[in-house]
Amino acid sequence: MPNLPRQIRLAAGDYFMHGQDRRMRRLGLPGNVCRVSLSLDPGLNVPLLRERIQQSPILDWMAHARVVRTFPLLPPRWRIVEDSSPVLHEHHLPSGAGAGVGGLPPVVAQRDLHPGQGPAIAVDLVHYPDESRQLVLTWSHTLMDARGAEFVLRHLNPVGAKPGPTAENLVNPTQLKRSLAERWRRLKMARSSLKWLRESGREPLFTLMPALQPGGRCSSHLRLMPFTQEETAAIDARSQSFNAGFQRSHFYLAAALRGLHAVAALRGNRDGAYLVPVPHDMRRRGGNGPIFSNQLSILFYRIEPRLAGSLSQIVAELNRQMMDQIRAQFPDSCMAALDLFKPLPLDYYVRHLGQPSGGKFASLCFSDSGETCQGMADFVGGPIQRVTHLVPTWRPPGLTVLFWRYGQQLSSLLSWVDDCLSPSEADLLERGLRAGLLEEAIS
Amino acid sequence: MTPQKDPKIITEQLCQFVRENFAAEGVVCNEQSPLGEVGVDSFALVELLLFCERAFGVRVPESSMTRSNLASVAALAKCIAEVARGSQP
Repeated sequence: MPNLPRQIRLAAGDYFMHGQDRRMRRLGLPGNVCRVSLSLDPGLNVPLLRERIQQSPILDWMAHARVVRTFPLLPPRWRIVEDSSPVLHEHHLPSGAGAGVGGLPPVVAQRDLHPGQGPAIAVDLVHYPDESRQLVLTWSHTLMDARGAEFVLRHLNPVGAKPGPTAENLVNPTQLKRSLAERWRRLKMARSSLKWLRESGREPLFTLMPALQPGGRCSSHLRLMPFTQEETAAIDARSQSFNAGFQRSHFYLAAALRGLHAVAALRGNRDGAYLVPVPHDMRRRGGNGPIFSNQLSILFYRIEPRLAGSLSQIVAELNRQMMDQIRAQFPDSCMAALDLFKPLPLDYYVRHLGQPSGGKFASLCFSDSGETCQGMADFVGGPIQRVTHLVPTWRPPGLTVLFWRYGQQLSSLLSWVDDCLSPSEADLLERGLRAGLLEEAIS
Repeated sequence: MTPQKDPKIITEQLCQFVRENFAAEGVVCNEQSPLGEVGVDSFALVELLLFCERAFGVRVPESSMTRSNLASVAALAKCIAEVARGSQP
């Protein structure tokens, strides 16, 4: 077994996620905590799963990692602590109980993980009377991203002849040590992203957030939108016809923006542009790891309202802006800039991030997790019926749209904060999204 | 810059670029490799197209990004070579 680090610096993406966690808790929202749930038909080998979890050096390391700042104005670090950190929690539900989000009991659906105070990862196994189960992996976004969580699932349940990720794949070597020359290169690179951020975040911008800060606590809402196999095939075909065959994410985002544009029009928006940060996984493909940490970068898209009424114009604009940003190496320079600001105290860092857009940050958050659990028909013996991602809503912007696929089926999740979107606006957004993906003619 | 028109040379350089930039250690990239399997997602595809501009002097139009042209490294190389021939004065 490799010698795993006792301390390690937070990646730029980790500190950003930690800042979002702080901001959400201040508003009474749940922390920046994500979940992926596998709905399993009878057949799961529970003792084997327990054994794999207990003997996993990856889960053991992650459960003992805490965020600490050793001295003010020094970047925060992960430190391994010795307290006991159980990872697997089992729940037996009597018939009809637990009708919360995705059929999960509240203790699972609302499990809170605070990376400074306790384990930043947990596995829940919910047993139902008919012997079906749900396995729920919950993690703090400060600890890792969705792809890292996927590696954890593959570590517990290797697929086919390919070996699953091991502790060797836990950490990105560049996170352990970075040469002086490399640090200097990144420092110079960081400067160029600031111009981009100021340019894309210039007013007028559309925001769903009310002008006044909420007086009381906010709450978040989730709406799952599963598509059938037939609908998914139709969406794939339509993305081809919109010239987004290899960039389906742009088609999904265009449909989400069309839905948001309908809501904005009802609110009287005329000039406010839509600003959308889209995370991108920077790992190399086809192999295992790194598992730990947010290995992300960000692309920022700005869509003017005059384009937001037409799917084909939005897709063309997204393609153009993506090309321009990659040509200018914006994703690298943006992460270098975030790295540079890590020594800032968290509250100041969060305020600083919002500056280029006058505190609005974005009009919506969008992410496409792509193929989840690819090639995984069962999990430790239990046939997988469905995979569901549940993500928190950041405020700002107060609305998140997420897409993912399992097998031949596309799913989407709308997640919003109650003071940013009314129930009737959420309905309108959902209808607009569906129409964009499935019905609307090419314009 | 004279556009590169030899699909074999283009294929070799595309594979090398993919190995150095996108594919994890141990992932095999050859002319028949499907792009998706060697780590070319939408982001990587844009990087690949920008590499084509720099290395081969060829600007591949969006309309050429069809499913058949993106089926494998060799198919993309063939498409790039055709665009290069078409752009010849």
